[in-house]
Amino acid sequence: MALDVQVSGSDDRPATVSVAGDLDLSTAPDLERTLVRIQGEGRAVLLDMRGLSFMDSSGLRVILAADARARSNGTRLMLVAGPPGVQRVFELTLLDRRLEFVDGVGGQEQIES
Amino acid sequence: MAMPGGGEESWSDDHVASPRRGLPYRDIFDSMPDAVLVTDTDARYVAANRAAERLLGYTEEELCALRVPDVLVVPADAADVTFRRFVDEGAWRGQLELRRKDGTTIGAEGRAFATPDGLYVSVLREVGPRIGGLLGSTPAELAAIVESSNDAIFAKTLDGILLSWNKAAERMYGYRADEVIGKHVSILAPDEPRKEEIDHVIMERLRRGEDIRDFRTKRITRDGRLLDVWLSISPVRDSSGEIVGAATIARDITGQVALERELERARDQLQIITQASADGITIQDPTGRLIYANDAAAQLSGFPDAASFLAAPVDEIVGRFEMLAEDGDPIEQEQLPGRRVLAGEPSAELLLRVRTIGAEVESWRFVRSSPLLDDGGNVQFVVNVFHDVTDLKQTEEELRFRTLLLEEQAEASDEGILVMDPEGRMLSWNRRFLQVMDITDEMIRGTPREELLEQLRPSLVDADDVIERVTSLWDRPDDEVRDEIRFLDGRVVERFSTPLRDDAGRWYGRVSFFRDVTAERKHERAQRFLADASRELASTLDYEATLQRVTSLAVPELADWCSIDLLEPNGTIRLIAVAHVDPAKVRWAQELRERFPVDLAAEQGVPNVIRTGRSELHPFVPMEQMEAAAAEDPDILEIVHELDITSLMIVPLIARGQTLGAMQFVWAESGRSYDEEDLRLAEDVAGRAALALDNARLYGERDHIAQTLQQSLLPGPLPAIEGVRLAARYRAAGRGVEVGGDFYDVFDVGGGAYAFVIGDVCGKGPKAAALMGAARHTIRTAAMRERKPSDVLQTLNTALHQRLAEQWFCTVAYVRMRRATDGARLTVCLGGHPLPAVVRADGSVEFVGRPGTLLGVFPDVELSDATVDLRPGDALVMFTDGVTDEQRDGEEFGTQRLADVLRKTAGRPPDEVAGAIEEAVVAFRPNEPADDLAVLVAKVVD
Repeated sequence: MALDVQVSGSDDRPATVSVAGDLDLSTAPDLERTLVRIQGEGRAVLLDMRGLSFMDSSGLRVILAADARARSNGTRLMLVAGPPGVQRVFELTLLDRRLEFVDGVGGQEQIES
Repeated sequence: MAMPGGGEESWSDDHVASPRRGLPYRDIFDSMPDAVLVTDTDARYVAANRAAERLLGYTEEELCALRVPDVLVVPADAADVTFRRFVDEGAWRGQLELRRKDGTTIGAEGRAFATPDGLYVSVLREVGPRIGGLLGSTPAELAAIVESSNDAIFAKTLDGILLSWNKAAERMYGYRADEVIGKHVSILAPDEPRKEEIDHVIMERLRRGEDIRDFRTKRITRDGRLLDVWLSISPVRDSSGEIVGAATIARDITGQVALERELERARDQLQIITQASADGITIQDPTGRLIYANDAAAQLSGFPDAASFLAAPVDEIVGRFEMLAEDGDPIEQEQLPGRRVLAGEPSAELLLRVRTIGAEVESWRFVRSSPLLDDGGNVQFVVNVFHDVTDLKQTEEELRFRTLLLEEQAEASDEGILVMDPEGRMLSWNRRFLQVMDITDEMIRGTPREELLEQLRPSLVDADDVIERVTSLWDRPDDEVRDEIRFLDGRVVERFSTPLRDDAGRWYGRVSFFRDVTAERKHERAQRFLADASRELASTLDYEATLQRVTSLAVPELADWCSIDLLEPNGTIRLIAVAHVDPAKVRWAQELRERFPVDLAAEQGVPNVIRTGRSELHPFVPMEQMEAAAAEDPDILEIVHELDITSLMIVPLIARGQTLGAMQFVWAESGRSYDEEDLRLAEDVAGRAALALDNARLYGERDHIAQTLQQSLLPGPLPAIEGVRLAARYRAAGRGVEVGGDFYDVFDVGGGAYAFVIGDVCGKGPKAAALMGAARHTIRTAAMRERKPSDVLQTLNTALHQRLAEQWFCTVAYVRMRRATDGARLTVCLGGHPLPAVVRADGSVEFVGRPGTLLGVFPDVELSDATVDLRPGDALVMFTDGVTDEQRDGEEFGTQRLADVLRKTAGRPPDEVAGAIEEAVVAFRPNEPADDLAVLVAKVVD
């Protein structure tokens, strides 16, 4: 299965990165490239995972790397939780406590505030 | 009575084509002895005949400027009232007094009627001289008046014996005075059934002193002709007032009666004919005023019938409809045929569009106007016939529209269309044909087909073959053919040619469709190349051979030359693949490269692309520029000429952010050029080639590392534990040489306790394998020092966090098992790992432990120890997410499904439990699993 990565938001504002499909070993690099590019511009990222149908540890690694980049360059990485199967990965690893999860609807406002 | 200019039957003829024969209105009108005055509803005179002119002393033209009140000798308002009453009642009969032009007044009597077409016709006659009125005259005067009268005047006794007989009577009846005086008046009466009775009644009335006026009857002349006569008989009294006789004024109205009858019939027939006609018929007087219209004309103008139409004021009529020219433009009054005829044209025709306002109805009318001329050749009336040609016009319009549509379609067609007649002449073609074939209208117009082909020859690929294919078809009129014509500049035109036959099978020639399929073919070629190249790239890890085959795939369809250079570890650039259709040229190119090493600092070309990682596209390479660059070296100049490059593009081979080399595409002898689309294709292929190259190199690296790690990483034999039986499954996803990220371990930690470990290092490849080895080693070491599982994993976290970049992590489930008297006690700690399951002897399944932070990312982790007791028959099942994450159609295998499988394994040996899990996962997705899979089962024996 493929991963669809959509980026929205203007250049000088936080970028919403919406992912849909499977985030696994084969597709994680796609997301990683996108996140590296956006974060390289010093922009905050709202990663919307509501469209994900699957995520494995490769996806987790990409998100952790993005979180690390955000912490090192002072931007933010916010996550909108995916479906339960995906969210379970965060729960099992207690990353739901470490990463910044926001509401899907209010995420953009939170990140801009 | 014969009608002027023709017989009765002429009415049934085409009265339109020959109006003077068919509508003898004016002639009839003027020949009537009585004054006939026609007025409109506004009491305005619109026509007057000769007799009316004589009666009133006005010309018709003058009368037409007047209204009834101007002529009627009563107060003007009373005249209007009278007229209105007449209008309301529709008929009038009586006497009235009129004022002539010279101011004298005149008594008249007659009748008036309304015509169905909204006009009012008065037929008047001067009141005859009354005997009584003449009584004051001298006998001589009287005799003179009587003699000179135009009317026959005779006197008779009450017995009917004729006493006097004037000149007019002689003329009328044919008897001289001496022949009739003294004779009985009955000689003038024809034999009739009630002759005597009528005579008796008349005489009785005269005896009573009554006038008899307006008596119409038949009389017979001396020579036997029957006359229609109008009689006015008055009693004659002697000086004592006694009635002694009667004076009769007689007028021959034979002609008038016949005319009236004819007129009546003509009117009826006109009515019938015109009303029955779908054509609108109108009649205009010389001033252009409408004096007649049939219902069809009225309806055309938006009125329900002729009467309301003719009664309507002009302003209202004008607002009801509009007349447009054929092209839809408004039409000028002067252009209307009726006006043109009035202006002197012998006849006029026009095609009109009549639009009834408000009704959204438009009809097409062919209007033909013809004049009715008087004897002097002056136009008296104009007859307009509005022939309805709407259907015809609609059909014509539709046909024209269809033709237009066809033409438009042909023009708008994406296909070039060429039609040839049976003689092979090019009959018609659309613009697209010219575009597709890249020819001008001048080139083809009037040009024989052979000549056109010769003009095309220089631009064709395999010109002889194409021309042969085209010309051979000329002798095979029945053949249908579909083929491709390729041009040297890269255009590809698909030709479909088919004979033109009608339903009867007659051959009309041939139509050919030409479709520019250049883009399609190019896209197909590109896709094929991409697919072939991808297959090649995936087929083997021998990348030099692979890249050589990929370059070969590009020629000759995508390039005359295709080559790949790779960046060597020492920073030099090496040509590892070059392709051309001619092997001699390939060798020549390789020799060239040896003779002229690449200038690594060159600002353009392969070194630049490798250095910058950016593609170069040179759609057109001017020879002058190449010559200038090579000017200093005659050898190179010669090579430049030999190569004859016209266009080129160079794309980098980039994988994982590293430029590994460059791929070059060159058009030379074929003279074509590259565009942005070609560049995207090249970049796509180069990207795939780079990935394949990278993988191939990586696999080489992995081969080496994997072999060294294998020994330590792949699980060895499981230890024997008293009272506990163990089983494990381990399967790495992907290629055999690839070491996965899952691991498990079981070892003795002393004190009768054992450690059960299962873990998953994120990622694959050498780095993951190394991390896995490190994790395993660290756990073993820590487990010797720390009793609490959480402490062991804490130690592992710290070790990994210090060693690793942040995105590297692993998840581990660590279970310490200590044998108890009745079973075993488990202490479970999870570092980001899925919860292990415990399958009770009774088949119930529970997942044990509490989630903890994954390891290696954060300096601090939240870990907790959970205690679970196993009794005999219970089993601990540890697994990696390769089990639960397994996917099918977007659905996970999941813990629920795992629990279902485990429930059924109650009471079975651990190896079967592990086997059941593996089988279920494999059955869930029979294809190669996407992830590694590890299962560890420990069962307390009962």
